[in-house]
Amino acid sequence: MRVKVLFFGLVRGVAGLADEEVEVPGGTTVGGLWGGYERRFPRLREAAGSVFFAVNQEVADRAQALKDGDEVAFMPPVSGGCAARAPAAGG
Amino acid sequence: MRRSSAGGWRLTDKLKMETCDGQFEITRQPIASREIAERLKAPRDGAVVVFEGIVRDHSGDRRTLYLEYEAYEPLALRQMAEIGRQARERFGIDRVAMVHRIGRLEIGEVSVAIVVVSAHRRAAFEACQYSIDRLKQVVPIWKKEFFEGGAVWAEGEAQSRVLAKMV
Repeated sequence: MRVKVLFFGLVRGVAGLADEEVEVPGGTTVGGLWGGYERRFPRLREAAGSVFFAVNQEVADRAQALKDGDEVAFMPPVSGGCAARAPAAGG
Repeated sequence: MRRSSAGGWRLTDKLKMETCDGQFEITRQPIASREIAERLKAPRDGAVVVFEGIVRDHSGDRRTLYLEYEAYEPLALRQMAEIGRQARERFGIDRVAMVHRIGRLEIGEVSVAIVVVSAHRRAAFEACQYSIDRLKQVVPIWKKEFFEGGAVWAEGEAQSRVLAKMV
């Protein structure tokens, strides 16, 4: 089956991908899909503890099984608004 | 009040949503808070509270040149609408508008605006504070800071579990 994968923020930066369509085996979960990208882009492992997921524009967990045509998003912690701290700058 | 019969909300276009709780928008254009307030307020309201988040010229001791924001737009709109629903339920306000700008923003420009209209000021202040705090925790928008010699993605204030709990 085919799914569409979206990458945001730091995750997009690390993977060097904004989006792509991929063929995955039936029964693949969100976590399984992410694991495949970790193998492809090992630096993604650094983000693994804080990344969160959406399937078809709803927040999803790693265990969720994917269906053909799903849209999956990989998202780092959010930083919208006006005054979030930058890393290592100490606020 | 516009409310669809099916889900209680409707997408007015790809980047806007209107619900009975208010108006929610992701935009690439400058944010005009005054116009939003004019659009939102009704004769039953006695208070308008406007919050604008603006781009600061520094982050810690580093000088910022400009920022770029990106959003997962459909999910961001839904999260904003959910915050609006919660704000209305908790504080008894009339309505709230939440607008976040994406793309490149220069120092001093408005990145986010929260406008709350209410019969009374106390509820409006509280709902406004609540709404911006929640936005920064759970709305999928990311900020990249550009400074002399480089750029960095800002770290979020909250981790994914906060968002997962909300929806």
